[in-house]
Amino acid sequence: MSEHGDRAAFLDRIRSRQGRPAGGGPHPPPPAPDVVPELAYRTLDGVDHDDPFALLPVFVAAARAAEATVDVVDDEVPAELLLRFVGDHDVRTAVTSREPEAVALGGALAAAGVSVAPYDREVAAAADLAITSATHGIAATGSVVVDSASAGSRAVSLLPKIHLCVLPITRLVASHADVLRGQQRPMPSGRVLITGPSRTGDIEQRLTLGAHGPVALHIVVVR
Amino acid sequence: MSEAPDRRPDGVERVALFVTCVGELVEPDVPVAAVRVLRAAGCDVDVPEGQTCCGQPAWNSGFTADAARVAGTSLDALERAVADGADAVVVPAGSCATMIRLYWPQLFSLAGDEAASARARALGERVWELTELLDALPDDRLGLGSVAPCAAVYHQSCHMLRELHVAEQPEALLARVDGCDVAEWAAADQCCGFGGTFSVKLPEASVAMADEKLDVLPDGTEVIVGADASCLMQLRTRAGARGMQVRTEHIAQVLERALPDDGGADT
Amino acid sequence: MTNEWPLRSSTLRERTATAVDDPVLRANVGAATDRFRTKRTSALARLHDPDALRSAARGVRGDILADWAATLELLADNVQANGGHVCWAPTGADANDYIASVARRIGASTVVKSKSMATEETGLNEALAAAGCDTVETDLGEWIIQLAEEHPSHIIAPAVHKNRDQVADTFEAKAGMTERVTEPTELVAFARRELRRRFLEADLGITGANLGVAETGSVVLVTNEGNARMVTSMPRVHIAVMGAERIARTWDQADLVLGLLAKSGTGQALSSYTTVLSGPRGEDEADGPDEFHLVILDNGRSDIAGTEFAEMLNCIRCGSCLNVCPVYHQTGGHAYGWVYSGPMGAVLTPLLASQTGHGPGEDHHVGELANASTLCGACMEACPVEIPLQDLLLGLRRRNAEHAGLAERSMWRAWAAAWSRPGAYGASATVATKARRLAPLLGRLPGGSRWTDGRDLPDLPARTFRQRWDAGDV
Repeated sequence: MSEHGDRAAFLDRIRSRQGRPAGGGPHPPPPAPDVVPELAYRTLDGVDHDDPFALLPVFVAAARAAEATVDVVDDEVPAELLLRFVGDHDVRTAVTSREPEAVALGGALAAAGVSVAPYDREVAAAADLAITSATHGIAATGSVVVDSASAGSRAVSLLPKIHLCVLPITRLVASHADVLRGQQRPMPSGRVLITGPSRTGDIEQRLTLGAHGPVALHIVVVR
Repeated sequence: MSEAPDRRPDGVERVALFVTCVGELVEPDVPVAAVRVLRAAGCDVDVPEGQTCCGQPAWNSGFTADAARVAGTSLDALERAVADGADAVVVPAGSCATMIRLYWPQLFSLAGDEAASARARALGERVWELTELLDALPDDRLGLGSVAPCAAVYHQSCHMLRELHVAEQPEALLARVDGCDVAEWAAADQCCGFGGTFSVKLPEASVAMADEKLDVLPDGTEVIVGADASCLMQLRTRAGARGMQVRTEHIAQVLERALPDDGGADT
Repeated sequence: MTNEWPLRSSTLRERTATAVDDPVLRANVGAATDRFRTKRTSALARLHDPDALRSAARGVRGDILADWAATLELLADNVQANGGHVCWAPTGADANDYIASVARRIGASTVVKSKSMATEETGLNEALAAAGCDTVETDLGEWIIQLAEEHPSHIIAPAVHKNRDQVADTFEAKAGMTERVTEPTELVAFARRELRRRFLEADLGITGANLGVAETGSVVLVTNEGNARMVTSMPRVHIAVMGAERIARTWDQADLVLGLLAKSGTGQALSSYTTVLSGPRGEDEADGPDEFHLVILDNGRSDIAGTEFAEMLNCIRCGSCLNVCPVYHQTGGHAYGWVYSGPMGAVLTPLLASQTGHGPGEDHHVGELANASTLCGACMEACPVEIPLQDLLLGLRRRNAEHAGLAERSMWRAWAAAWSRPGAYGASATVATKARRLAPLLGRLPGGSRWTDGRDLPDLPARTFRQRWDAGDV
């Protein structure tokens, strides 16, 4: 921890410049709201924000709109779903985060013949599949939240070709406000709201998945 | 953002017309048509002596004092008309109406004349863009008949749309005119590229902007109707240079032609 | 400002004319902005009362910056409490020097960067090259233009002006692509392979910052490609360069701003990755940087505070004003001559130029950017924090007028003298109508004769309105 440059001079310069701007134009700024409003998503109309089962269809639709794929399973991930997933995506190697849900799923995959290892960046960079769990699912935007502190790394969900994310349904919240607001120190060093796979439209606006991160995001919601 | 004030036109009978400099010098048929349509709607129309321009050309170029000098002349004239009993000041140009209603208070204030700024603010309450007033009048005050069939589109001018928020009124009026068939135009709310001195400071971009609108005119369009003569001049002169057959017409002129008992247009 | 930018070596008109004359650029920029605009509209339509949210965001941004210094102080304290380092950089050179010193200390040879407009401002890549670093831009669009040795043409889509063939040409010429591909998916796959290698070997990662959140000492990065995540998890040092105004005090404020950012920019509900970074690698974490540095950059920003242009500091760099601007739509970003383009660029560039010792308006080449607008107001209508860009453009034009040449000032004075006297106004009208042509009038405007570049001269009427009125013919 260190500080470089002259903090006092930097801030004094700002303070000395600040008075109330003159303005007087036809578009005057409004006063700051007493309470910072949350974005109200129409998809959440009439949905009980505290009921994850009510949020589930909203989440699934939003995640799919963001090019993620979603399966909803009871209790634990069925073997046939795993086998189909492994076959569909030609998964031979996988890395897992250190969360118990991810490790358990890794064990099931290993039993299905996939080479599964804990996260290591060189291994992950060459792996077909990343398995993590999510600290939250965000219904309004179809996002999953992955923390470096619980996953044990920042890039486990980033380096492999495909990201498989396990989301226990009780972790579904309505909106990003439920995740972002009220955050306090100490923070995980890295927390990411993941909304669909990596993408770019930089060449002729053509949506291309898998720019630098996963080409596919598959979310398994466990009821 | 400021919304159109909820102003009621009840009792508007005496109207002062602000001609605008473009109407005075380049397109006099537009204020002539505005006068006749307002009269047809039962208004007693006066054209106050002493008015010139709203000052917008200099204001938009940053020359505040010069703009205020010109605008002050028009403020005096319009204020006198109101003092003489005009219920409303009507402007047949969205851009000039915006200048007077929204920007005059700031203009005079920046020019150091707070008294004029306050006067402008008070005057602004009485200022109406032409179609804004006509549409707000009860339908029975303005009878509209038919015109010779024409394939039209409507150009939404920027200040009128985004600053005055007068969006629906012009087309609502045109819908009352038999024979004026207004088609959907994908580029209706795009800027025409005029922008006052923009049109001569960056002529290549200005012309390209006009082209983008003209390129997507629906097939068979005969006339572009609008509520700002300067936008229409930009579109017409560009269309002319391209050899396109499309005409332009101010909405006041369309409405004038649709008056059931046309008082004989002197055009 | 680095010298390679065309801002001072050409005029705005020259640059816009060049752009308008480039059919590939116009088609690409047009298609991209149309698409962004359509997606933005539908993204916002999924919210209740987005206009009220924009207005609230305007109030919130104003509130944050009313308390600017204190918020920065809280942010800096919390970054350090999280184990990070803070650098206060009054100028771009200060920022570059600090970053180069870190690079030298750690012996960095490869630097990976995630797109950052602030470091475009400071010319960081040149400074790192001078320090012996091989710096690689990793946002695909930014990498393409780095290879092509061009400048960004859109703040969120830097290579928007290029088509697939031009990208393939660049990859062949500059990135060692031996088997030419032109399909976007294949071009992206090529870039992924090449850049993946660089991520893994890099010593230093540099990003911008979409937002610094003071109450937790966090930096938020928003990307779609995932390159910012790579840059902040693979190298052993991460430096974030943040414009000093890109802050929120609380997460409530940050949540509102971030919620509007992606919807306004690309029209997504959220971008693929909204990453919240709070210091270096945590204990027991297998990756992430050993060092985290936050460079807080002024570079002319504080000069905007307390002026009539202060609301420009509220800008969150979403790009929506570019996408709706009819001028940008025709020209793309290069016509603006510097880092920032579109309406926000036309306002911000002259304001930041104060760092060179020129106040707004004093330097004609910079000041004239305020003319790159018809004042149509589409920008304010799209801005997620409702910056009244047209009012700010008018303010800049007033500054320019204060420094205008004698000819222009005389012309407006003569105009005002004539048109503030009804008699003289009538006389000028008569002169014009006698000529039956607009040329005499246009000729009195600066550059008025340029009307006929592509347009017919309008005919003038035989009689003015007043003549007809006075004759009782109305």
